[in-house]
Amino acid sequence: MGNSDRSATPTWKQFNHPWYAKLGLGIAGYFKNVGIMIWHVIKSIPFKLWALILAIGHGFKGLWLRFKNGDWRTRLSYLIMGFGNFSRGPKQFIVGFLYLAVEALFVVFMVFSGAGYLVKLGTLGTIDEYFDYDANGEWVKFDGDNSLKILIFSVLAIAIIIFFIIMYVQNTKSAFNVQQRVQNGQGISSPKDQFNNAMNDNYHITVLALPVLGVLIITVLPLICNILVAFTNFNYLHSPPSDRFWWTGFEAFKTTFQGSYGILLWRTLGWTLVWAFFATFTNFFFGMFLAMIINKKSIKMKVFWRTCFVIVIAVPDFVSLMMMGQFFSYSNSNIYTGAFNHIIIEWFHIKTGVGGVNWLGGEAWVARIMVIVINLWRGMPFTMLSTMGILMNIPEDLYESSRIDGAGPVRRFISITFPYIMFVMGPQLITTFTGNINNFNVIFFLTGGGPFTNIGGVRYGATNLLITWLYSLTMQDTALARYNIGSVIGIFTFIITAFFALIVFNSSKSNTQEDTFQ
Amino acid sequence: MIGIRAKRIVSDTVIYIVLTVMVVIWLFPLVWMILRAFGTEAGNTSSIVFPNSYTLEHFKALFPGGAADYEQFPYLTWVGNTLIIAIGSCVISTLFVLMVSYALSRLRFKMRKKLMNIALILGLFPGFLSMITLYYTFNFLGLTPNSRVGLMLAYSLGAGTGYYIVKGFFDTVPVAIDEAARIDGASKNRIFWRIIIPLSKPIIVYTILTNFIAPWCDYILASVFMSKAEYYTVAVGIRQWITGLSLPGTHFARFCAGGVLISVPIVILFLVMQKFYVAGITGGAAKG
Repeated sequence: MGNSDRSATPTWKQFNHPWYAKLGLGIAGYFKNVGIMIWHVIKSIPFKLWALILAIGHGFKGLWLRFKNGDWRTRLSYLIMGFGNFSRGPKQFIVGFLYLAVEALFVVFMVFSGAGYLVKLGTLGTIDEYFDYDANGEWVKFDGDNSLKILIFSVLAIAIIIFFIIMYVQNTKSAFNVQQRVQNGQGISSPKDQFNNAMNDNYHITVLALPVLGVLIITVLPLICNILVAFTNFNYLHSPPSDRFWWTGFEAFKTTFQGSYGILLWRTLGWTLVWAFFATFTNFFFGMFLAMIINKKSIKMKVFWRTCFVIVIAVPDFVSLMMMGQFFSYSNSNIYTGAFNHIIIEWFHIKTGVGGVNWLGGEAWVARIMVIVINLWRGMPFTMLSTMGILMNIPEDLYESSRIDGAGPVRRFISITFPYIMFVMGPQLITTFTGNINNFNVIFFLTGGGPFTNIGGVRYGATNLLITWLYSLTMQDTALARYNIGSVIGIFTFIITAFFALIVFNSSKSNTQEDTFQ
Repeated sequence: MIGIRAKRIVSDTVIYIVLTVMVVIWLFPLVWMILRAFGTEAGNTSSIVFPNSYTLEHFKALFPGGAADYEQFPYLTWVGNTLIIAIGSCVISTLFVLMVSYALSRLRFKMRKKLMNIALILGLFPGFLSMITLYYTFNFLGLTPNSRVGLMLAYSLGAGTGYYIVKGFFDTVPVAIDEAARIDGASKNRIFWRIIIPLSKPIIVYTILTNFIAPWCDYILASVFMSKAEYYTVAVGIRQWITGLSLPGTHFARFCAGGVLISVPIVILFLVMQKFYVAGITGGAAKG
């Protein structure tokens, strides 16, 4: 750690502002900063575009200059990729033939697959599934255009074209480079040199190539496709392979933000934020409280207490949450109702209706409180663990100096412990908040989004988060799936999450100061 | 002074009582599940909290020949599937995460900041948004439905974006060590495998464990990718026992048994790695 960090270590007096003033200032500052940030982004768009145009122009200029100054081998590389490499001797065979292979594969892909899909991208297919006599004179079904396949393969083809363009430019650079080395009598690099280069100067390409390719295939391409789906009418009525879907512009956005879906969207967003707030802060405060009482010096068997709670989070979600769903299950009969209702009726003789209370599927507000409470059961030990880690790191001399100043235990908590925890956990807290906006498991396993009511012909789940709603619109019941609306909700969720994540991005200095730690 | 001491005893007693009550509340549902797993009552719709008598029958039902409908619910096959998928995805994910972390922590190149920002933005999109197209993309490649390799790749290929904690650890390894090695003529590749990796054993153990545990805990992706009982993972498999229309009434105890059996090793692994978890959370944030 560098010196700059030591000076940043908080002293206890630094935290003397009352917490509410800090909170208010923080919130005001955040909105100001987000405004400034958005303004900066908007302001930079014309410059970025101009820079992009310049870069493209520069690329073309380079291409032309290399062609103009190249000899016939280099010039032929513009047609046959890698020619400038492999025609200059066996040392460059591997590189040259790799370029040639890229070109060959690209042409094969485009001719036999990519081009066919790209042509149809504008319409997403025009031929419906139809029946006709085949060559043997039998009445059979012929496949129509598969809109989804066209969409996915077009995006893939565009990605491959971009990759090819990069390789093509690299090929001209490489050919020209070899030509210059020959002209200057420097000698051509051998496969061994090239290997050493990949292990040293270009090592970032060697290590990043596969992971980046993986992220492109698994995350980026499907993401782009699904964002594009938001601009189509891809739903249960227009579902490939039996039916086509097509571009409908912003129709899906209109449907989602207006009418019944609109009401549902704002209600669901409201509950999502309420949920994320309570899920985050109940966990945080109870976890902090628990960590502090376990951490009290005179308390014995610290490891035992801690382990008892950690066991709860160590059990996988799907086991513990599904079990909780059964534990709180309900039936309108005193015999068949779930374990928790049995306990309150038989052990504590609390008067309830027949069968106890329908905790997770009855009244909306009961279910909402229950998911927050069960989430506390499930998530609090996480906060406890990390808070205990932080408490151990609080410098003892902060407490010493405060004691000399005559601060009592409450004062010490308000002025040292709490600010110190916030100092470390603050960014973490917001990450947890955004995580809770997308906390699928708790809702899905406990209530499945229910209890359900009907609003304007659309099913509304009182505990549905945006993310579980997205799930139920796309994956739960494929016979009623509305993929396009699901995509709009996904994009909307992204905007909401990004809004809160900006706080972390904004406040985290590790982004700019990371080098000072090495 | 006696006053202070008495106060301390009182406050400690209160704390012990609070802790005991909380531990009872927190562990009660788990104890309930364990006891139900050993209980004779098979379903969740009987008038009991705790079983009246105990048996190993429901654990036996998890193994071939232990129950009449084992063919329909082959628990051991599910464990096998999950194990294969977890091992494969753990190897790929760990390698990817280590490579990306090394590149972003130690190497300086033009796209570095951009890649980190892109990873940050990608992380903000809800994962489900891309699941449908991922399913169909894999479908066109023959990797869905019902392919263990497909699920393994889906879990692991995108692992590169989860580099934060490991990169944070690499950042704390002094660069002076790299420089000394470079002066001795070591290539970056050699520095990575021979110096950084051996110096980072704790974080590598952490990465391996988290990546190994992740497939055991995932339900959604596996449920979308697998449609036949013989290809299910444990999570998808045992969920049937409480979501099937009549099954909670007859298979709840088997769900508990299956859940207990799968949780024991995971709990042990988690207890092993909890100190890394704390270090990851507090260490990563403390630098901010």
